[in-house]
Amino acid sequence: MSIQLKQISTDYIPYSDSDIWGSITTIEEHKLCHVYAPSGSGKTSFLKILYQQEKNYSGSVIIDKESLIDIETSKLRTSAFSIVFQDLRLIGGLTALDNVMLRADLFSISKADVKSYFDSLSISHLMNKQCSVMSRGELQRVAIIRSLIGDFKYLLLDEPFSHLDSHSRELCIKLINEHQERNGFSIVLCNVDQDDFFQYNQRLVL
Amino acid sequence: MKTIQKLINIDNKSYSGVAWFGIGLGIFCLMISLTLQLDVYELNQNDNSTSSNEGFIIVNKQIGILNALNDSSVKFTNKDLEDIKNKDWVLDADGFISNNYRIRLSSRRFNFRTELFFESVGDSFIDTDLDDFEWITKDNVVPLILSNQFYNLYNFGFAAGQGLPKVPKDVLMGLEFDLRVSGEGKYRDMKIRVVGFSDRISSVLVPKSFMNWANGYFGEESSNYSRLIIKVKDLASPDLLGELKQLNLEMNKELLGGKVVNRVANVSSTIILCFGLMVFLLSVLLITNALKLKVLAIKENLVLLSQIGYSQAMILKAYLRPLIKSAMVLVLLNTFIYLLSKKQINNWYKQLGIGIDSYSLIPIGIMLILIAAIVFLSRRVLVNVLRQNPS
Repeated sequence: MSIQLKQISTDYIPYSDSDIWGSITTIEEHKLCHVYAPSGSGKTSFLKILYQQEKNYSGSVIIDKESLIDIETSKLRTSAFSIVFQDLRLIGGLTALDNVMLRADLFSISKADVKSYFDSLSISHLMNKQCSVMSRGELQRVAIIRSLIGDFKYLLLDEPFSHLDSHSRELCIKLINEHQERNGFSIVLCNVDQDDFFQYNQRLVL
Repeated sequence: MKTIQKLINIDNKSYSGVAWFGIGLGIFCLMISLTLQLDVYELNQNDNSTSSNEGFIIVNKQIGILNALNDSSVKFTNKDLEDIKNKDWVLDADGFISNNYRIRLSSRRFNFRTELFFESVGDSFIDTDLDDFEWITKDNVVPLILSNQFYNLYNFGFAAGQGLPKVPKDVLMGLEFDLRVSGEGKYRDMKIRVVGFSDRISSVLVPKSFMNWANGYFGEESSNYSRLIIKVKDLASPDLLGELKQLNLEMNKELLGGKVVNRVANVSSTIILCFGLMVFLLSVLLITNALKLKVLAIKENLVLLSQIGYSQAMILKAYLRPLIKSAMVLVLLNTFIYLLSKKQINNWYKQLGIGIDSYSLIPIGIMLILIAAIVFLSRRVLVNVLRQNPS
């Protein structure tokens, strides 16, 4: 499964010399792709287009020979993509565990299995804590755990480690790598700078 | 419990609880008022007079000091009768003709002898089977219709006091008694036989043909009437007593009782119906607003559910399931309370001597339709919110 971007653009993002906006680009299956650009270049918009949150664009996106707009949203978000949103999108009134279980229920993944993710990141003590009282760094780790739940082809990461200390970031990268090796999904990570969080196969500039 | 239910339960339950309580109360009021309406309708259907408020009254002139000794001033003339007939609240009227001759009733078998009076009135005013209530001059047996009130008075008053046996209606109708009518130096021995009983007219009625013959033969024919029987358009009309008072007429107000009770029951049940409808509408407004507020309050959560992979159908199902559960509890609870209340109402009917013992299923049907409509409405609100807030 590959993602083909064919001259996509939006009215509100100016671009020049972009590998994505107005270009024809392919993001290959099982590859680690790094998309970087300064703030305001449309990183989040690009991920929103892929995730069908943004439909106001020109050009086309082909996923496995099928146009993105023809794919049913819930199917796309369960079997094709998983995501860590820049604004994390966790429910403050639920605990960290419940937030992850909301997605785990879709794949009939047990609570015990989910708990092992928390153990891997050494945040078991946060499982029953309400998200409304958690720090941004804690929430980022919960959002990363949620994104690893399910059987998907692409993991979309929008500045996922921005509020993590180096130790926590290492743990997260290790967990993501383990899952990537086991499940073979591709990673598309958007960030403001070039980084070496993963051994990228492809780097794209917005 | 699926985690999505936890999300739904975050909302303020008490608000929904108040709304459901209101809906339950509103629907219950509707059911009770509907069943009362149906009972009143059934009562009217069973009423052998008419299903409308038409009815009969018997009136006489007020007797005062000035007219007490003047017999003709307390009687009605043909002109009085015509005047009454022309009133807009009157459907028909007739006068009671009294006997102007002596009547003596006796029975050797039962060893009694008594003076009696007869009256006659138009057949259309008599509330019993008139098949045998005919008389021609050569007939020696005079048919007679007795007031049920007199019959009961004999059985439960006179007979009980004198140690005489009670006489069943069938037996009484099988007996013939000796009758002597006399006057003007003439007499005729005849027989009388009871052929019916009247609830409406408290009198001893004989056919008009007999009365006219006997008055002409033994006394003098009079064109005056002692009392009038009037068929009125609306027996429960509050103006009726005023109209009679204006004409200086008296009537037995007891006759109005049944119709007035019906009118009061109708008005009461209509008030309850309106109240029930009002409570119900307010409750529907409350629950739809509660649902809208609930959905608006968690709109972001709904969007988020969609963003992490939940389909609209899954979200709808999750949100409607507790709603349907609450609706089902409401149906069971309301049905139970309704049947219990109806049983109590039927007991009260029994104590009041009203013959209604039915459990109408119409109110339960109406309740099911209304609650189904609420669930449907709630679903629509939810679908609209989901459509208006795509993720």
